[in-house]
Amino acid sequence: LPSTVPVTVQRYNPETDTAPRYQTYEVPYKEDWVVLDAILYIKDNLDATLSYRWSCRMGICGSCGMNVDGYPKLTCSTHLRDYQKGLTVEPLSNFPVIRDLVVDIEDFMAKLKSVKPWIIRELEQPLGAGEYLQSNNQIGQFQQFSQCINCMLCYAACPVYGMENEFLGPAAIALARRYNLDSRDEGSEERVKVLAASEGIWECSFVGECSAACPKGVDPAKAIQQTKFDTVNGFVMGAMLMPFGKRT
Amino acid sequence: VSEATGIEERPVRTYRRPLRNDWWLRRRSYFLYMVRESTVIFMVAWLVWFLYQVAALKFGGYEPPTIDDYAFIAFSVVCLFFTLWHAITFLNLSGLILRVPIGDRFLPAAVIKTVAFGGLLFVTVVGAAIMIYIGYLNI
Repeated sequence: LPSTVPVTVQRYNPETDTAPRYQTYEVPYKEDWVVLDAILYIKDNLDATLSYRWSCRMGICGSCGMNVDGYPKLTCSTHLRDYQKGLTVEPLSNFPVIRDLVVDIEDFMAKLKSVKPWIIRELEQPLGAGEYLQSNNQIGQFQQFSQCINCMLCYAACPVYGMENEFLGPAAIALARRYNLDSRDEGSEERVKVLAASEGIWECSFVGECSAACPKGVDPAKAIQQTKFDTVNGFVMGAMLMPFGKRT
Repeated sequence: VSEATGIEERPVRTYRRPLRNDWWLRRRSYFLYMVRESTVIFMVAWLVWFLYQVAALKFGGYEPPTIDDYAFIAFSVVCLFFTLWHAITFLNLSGLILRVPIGDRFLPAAVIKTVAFGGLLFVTVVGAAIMIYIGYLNI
């Protein structure tokens, strides 16, 4: 086993650099370390100027997403032992870099909000009426899509988002699907305006890398394709088979 | 000036890494995606050839391909391979994407997939039978 591992990190200082540069650090190799441990070691012992995001260290908060050897990964769940000959850590692709490994998430947050990721009711029932009950089957419909931790790895893996930043993106669509499938929700007609817009589901050409990159098994590609089918189905049923029915 | 800190806030100068034109060569899965997208070129090419033959049949100059026309056979085999690849990879996902409700449950994905492939087989057999029958009538 190696005693150290060369970790090459992309550096970018907006006050002095016009483009990113790379810097290599020799980090002690430890069998049980993850990539985030190596980055923390660099920050604590070798170069205090290195900037990055992290928080929970257990694959829950979604803060420490970075490109490891070109692939978007949660660095807290990516083991150093899989990169014994060295590795390159870069900020997530397709996002503007603010500094070193820190990317601008404003666009992502705005897109999440645009799909109204909360339960929408046409008429709220009074508190005294009790909870909105659900069966296990009803919960099972959306549970997979509710596992998203907003780590943005799917956006970094998506070449469509890389080429067209207006694309709503995998996580936002999966989140919309999560609420559209919730038996308590009545807001799918509000969300479809965003989902079926030109920057929505139809931008996706089904590369499928979002699902491959997802550390939580959310399968955003499935959510997008299902939403495409439901949207077409809704259009056909609503506008063609029942042209004089309920319209919004 | 930030109300919270009293520090002057300046717009942050970010760097956006451009997506290179060869992005699809940099990962195997991207490459396979592009190959699958490209299969449509062969499907369209064969269709154009077929329409040309139909037009030739109507307006004259029709020369049916013969069994020793190896270039045509090779072209057809390649087109058939890519068409089947496109169809199979598409139908493989049908069970994942199509949701057919039965009460508060959904039809199992395996059933939907079986029906999809069965449909493809049925349409292929019926289509082939019709074309063979028409050919037989013209002999």
